Amino acid sequence: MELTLAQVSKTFEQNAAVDAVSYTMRNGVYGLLGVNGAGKTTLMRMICTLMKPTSGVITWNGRDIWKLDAEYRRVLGYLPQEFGFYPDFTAEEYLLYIASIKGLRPAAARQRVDELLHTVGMERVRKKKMKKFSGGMKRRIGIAQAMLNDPEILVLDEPTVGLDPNERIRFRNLISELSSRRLVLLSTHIVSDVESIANDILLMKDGRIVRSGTPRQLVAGMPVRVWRCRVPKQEEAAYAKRYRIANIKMTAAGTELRILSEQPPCAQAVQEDVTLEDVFLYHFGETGGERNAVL
Amino acid sequence: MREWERRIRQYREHEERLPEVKEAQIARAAARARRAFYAAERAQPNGYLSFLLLQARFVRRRWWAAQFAVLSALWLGLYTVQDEDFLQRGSSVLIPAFVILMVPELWKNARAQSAEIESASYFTLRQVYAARLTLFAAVDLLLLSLFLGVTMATVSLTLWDALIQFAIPFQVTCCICLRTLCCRRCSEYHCIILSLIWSSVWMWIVMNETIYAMISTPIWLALLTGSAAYLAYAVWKLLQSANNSWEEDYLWN
Amino acid sequence: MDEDFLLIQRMKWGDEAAMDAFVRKYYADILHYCCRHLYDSGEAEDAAQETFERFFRRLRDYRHYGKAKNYLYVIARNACKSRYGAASTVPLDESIPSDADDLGRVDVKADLFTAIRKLPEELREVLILRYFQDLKLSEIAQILQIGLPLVKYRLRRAKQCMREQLGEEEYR
Repeated sequence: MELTLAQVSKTFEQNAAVDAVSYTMRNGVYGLLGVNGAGKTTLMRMICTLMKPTSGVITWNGRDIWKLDAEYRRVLGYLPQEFGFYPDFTAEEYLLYIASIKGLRPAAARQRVDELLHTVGMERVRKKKMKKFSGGMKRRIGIAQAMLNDPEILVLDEPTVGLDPNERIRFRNLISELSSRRLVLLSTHIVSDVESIANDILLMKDGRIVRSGTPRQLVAGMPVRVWRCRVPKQEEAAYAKRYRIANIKMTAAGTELRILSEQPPCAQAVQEDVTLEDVFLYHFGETGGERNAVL
Repeated sequence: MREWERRIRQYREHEERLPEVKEAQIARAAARARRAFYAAERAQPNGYLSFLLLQARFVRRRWWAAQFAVLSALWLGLYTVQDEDFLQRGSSVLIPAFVILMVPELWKNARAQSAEIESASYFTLRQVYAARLTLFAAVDLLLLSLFLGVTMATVSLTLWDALIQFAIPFQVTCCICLRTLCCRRCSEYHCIILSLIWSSVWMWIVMNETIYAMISTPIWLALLTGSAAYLAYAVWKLLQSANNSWEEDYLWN
Repeated sequence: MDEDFLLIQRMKWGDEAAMDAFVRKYYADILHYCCRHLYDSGEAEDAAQETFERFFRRLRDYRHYGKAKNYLYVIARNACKSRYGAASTVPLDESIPSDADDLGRVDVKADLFTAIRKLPEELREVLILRYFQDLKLSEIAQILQIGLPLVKYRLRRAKQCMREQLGEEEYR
């Protein structure tokens, strides 16, 4: 099982949303990390055959996914970032409907729906109309939907958006549970979503994969170090201008800054361990639109 | 011969030792059978025909019931009133209404914004639409022929009149529905409004004696075949458009 | 269209109650048929279970033209045939139960039993299907994929053979 992207680009009216991406994925969880607008969704849509690349090829086990067509989609599960429901359908009906489109035979569909409703913990509300569901419940049904055909490739676009912290943890556990025997590609702009469950992390920026590797490799490959230093409140702005700040903590004795820098930024600076969030910040810090997401 | 059969019977009744069939054994066999069945079911994708029939389970039956009710009302009107004016007025309103009742089901996928999931599935959105259109066509054909049969038998009406009064508004309304369904900026409201406009135009044409008289048989024939041909084109176009809706749409990347 | 048609339709849609009902309905017949071929209850049960397993594996493609029962017999026959190799290595005498209480009866039983076993396979098959499984001649023709006249002929031959064997033994 091998999904290969070879020089894949997608251009929308002169704008390259995805720019010559080459990467090979096998079994395991891959975290596609990047700020909003980095081209994650476009990349995923191409992998799901919703869009054709402007140039380059995507192959599954060595064969072009567009030539494989239905045969490829048969092993594909996809949870889009935003997706509608049929409000009048119950959870069960919806899953049976998607199962029918995924080409499952009726008896197999029934059995699979039962299994998955159990897996995502929605058995009790199976007969409830979906318009009454909360965001978290819908997303769980979304995951169940993607898993119906027991896919070899599971593509999840921003699956944790709109989930509360508890749900987020549940979700993470669910993903690692589902990730054996398949390739899971999961996009997010939140580091903690993938830190613990992804085998490999791809940092995507302006349509390119700028860095990839295991979390450990990414941390080890950081060209700068991380420092903690305490500065007076009035100097805070000056530091922020000169350095990349990973964190700001107000204390009684002044402001405590977490700074990315090659050299110690101030005399009493203490060196700290590099985390994945620091790596993310190092690559996205300047242009990152959503700093809150990182902090 | 008889004697010999009797011996076998006797042997079976008194001497043959057959193992007792135990409940657990049956349960084991049934469980094994079920497993084999499910494994086989999972191993292969569904065929298109089976998929098509399966889609009928996800169509809300109440729309078909409503269509049936509309046709019944039209028949009842024709039967009790027996008047040409009513034929024209009634059918030019009710036949488009009959078609409009398909709209909620046809728009279901677009409405639900679930097309992204559907497009990444084994059966494409095109096949989903094709299946649903086929189902509606089949059911409507059944309803309409039933209606036509009953009407011809009970109301004095020539086949020619029936074709003009029923087929033309039916086909044109279908064209409107399918074409607006293709159009990415149109909602079902556009479709309904256009259908209503068409229905009133049509009513005006058939009710207006001077215009009605001016339209000769060849023109009716041309209208009939023209709308039928355009309907075929509209179906084809819809199925063409069903699959490439993501190319232009990168706004919320 | 017979009573099984609806049951099988329900099974195809994944109705487990229907599946259970189907197995329950035919299990005894098939098990006994396998016993009559294999003479070993363990082997026979195995063959019967395999029969249902194979039937259900191909359930999707099964078209209800004939009777489901006949199709089960066809599968069961194949399941037994594939086990013949092992079963026929058992010596004839050992496979005959000898714990009957009445001596005379043991004789009758043994006679009939050995007579049947000595029949050629094709004759024994029709005999079992007709007189032990109580199938109609037309059903047997369908199961064995042979013409009705041939079924009748084989049955006649089987009876003849039996009469000869049993007759001889009675004179002894």
